[in-house]
Amino acid sequence: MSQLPTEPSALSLTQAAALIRTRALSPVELVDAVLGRAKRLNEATHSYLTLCEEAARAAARRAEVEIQAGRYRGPLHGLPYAAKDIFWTAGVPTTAHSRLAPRVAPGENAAAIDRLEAAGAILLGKTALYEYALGTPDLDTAYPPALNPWDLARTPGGSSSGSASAVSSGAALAALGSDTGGSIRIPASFSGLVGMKPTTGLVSRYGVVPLSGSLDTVGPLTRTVADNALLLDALAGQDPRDPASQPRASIEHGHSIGQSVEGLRLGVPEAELAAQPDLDPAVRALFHAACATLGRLGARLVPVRLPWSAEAEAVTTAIMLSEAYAYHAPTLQRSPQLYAARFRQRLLVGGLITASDYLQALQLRHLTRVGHLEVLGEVDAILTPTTPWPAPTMPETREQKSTGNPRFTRLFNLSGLPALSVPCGFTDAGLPTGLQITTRPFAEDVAYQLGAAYEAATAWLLRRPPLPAGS
Amino acid sequence: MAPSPSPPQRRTTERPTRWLERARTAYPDAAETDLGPVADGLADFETQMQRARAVLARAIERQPTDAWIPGAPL
Repeated sequence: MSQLPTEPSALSLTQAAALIRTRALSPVELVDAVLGRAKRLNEATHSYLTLCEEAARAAARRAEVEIQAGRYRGPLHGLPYAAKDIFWTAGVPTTAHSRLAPRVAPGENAAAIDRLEAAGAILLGKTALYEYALGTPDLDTAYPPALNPWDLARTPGGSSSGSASAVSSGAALAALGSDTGGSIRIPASFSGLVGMKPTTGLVSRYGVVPLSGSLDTVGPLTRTVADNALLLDALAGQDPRDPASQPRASIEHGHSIGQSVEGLRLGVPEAELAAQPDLDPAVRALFHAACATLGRLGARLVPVRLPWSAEAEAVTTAIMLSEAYAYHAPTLQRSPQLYAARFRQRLLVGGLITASDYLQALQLRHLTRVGHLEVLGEVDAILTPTTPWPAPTMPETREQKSTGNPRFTRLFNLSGLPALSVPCGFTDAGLPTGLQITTRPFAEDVAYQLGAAYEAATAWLLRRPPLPAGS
Repeated sequence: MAPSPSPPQRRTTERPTRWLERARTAYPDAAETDLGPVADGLADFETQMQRARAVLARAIERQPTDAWIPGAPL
């Protein structure tokens, strides 16, 4: 293990787990340190909508007693995390970052929250997002938008924005996000983090306020690849309450971390990238440098074509907005004024998409999946940048009505494949960028193997956001 | 769960009347300030979807089969 930070909130999950297991660090001390940092920073970052201070401290005391009594539950025991405020949490309000209360089963946790609780993890608080995971960072939203710790004038990306902001700033060791078109991976890319959108069906979405029931996924945001795999191990598992959930044998998703990537075939959509003149030059250069790094580690780079990319925006819009409108129609008709204007307008577009277009979009989604699986029959993983440019400023996000361009990410929501974003270096302005690694269904371990090999070959992990002294 | 889509292409002249009328008919109680952006959103979507429909039609011609009827689980 590398030299440990002296400040507990700067520890990775795996570092903290090792210290807690050996009783060199108490969960109470760790939770105190991270809560303290979250409270000091939140006025600047707006990462959290709710801090569960008392409950977290009580849980930390219970964890300490259990561990001291020899009842150690595993590597997440006593470790604090944050959750996007669309996960149901018993006893803690769920706002979906909206004036309209979402339809939450009282007293129930989301499946992901229950699974982390069973593993001994401690919920620190609920994080900001964009309204119902689809809104934009407008000025008329119910709560202020989270800001990017790497540059507080910029978005951390959306829609899991507060989760990314919290982990990036050390106000959480890890966080839960959800991803319908890129909402875990884009914030990971903009915020210098590791973000996993797992295979559709691996992690239950039960108790997560839906945006688009056929595209939504749940996954972790962390500082390191190993941390991410640790969290996914706890999250994965069949759940009959989620119709997309699939039976899978329980595995350690990080078992492949540290294994050589020699001989792995990595598809690079060179022609598609070359045809995108608006790709930020630094993003392009850093992406090619990352490919070269993996090549030097022994992986084989293979040019591939990503089919159905040109249709992905139409297909995603048809499916996502139709499904979102179906969810929101009753409240939209009853209380339209309670929605922020731009979000309301997007929902109203969804109400006018025809059934025929929706069904044709489902057909195109199927063809997209078939096409991606054909590519992954030839290569072990597909590499792309996660986003075409680094984090925009808040005024730019309002102007573009966008919390991050999803052109590289939404494709894999359509095909349901696992996709991991890992830090890919920094622009001259010090802004993080991301490398997206997409693998075959349920091959999250291969994504982690590649991500960890790249992480170990670079020094991006050592950088920290330039937050004010004393924070 | 999803970021916003790409920003729409810069529109050139006036808002297409047909989309504005469609929005107004569908949402008679909506504020005019909403109807314009809804019409713009519909126009953008229609532009994207026209191409997608054409590509899908060609794919069906190439592979005329019912094997990929939507609705099957991923």
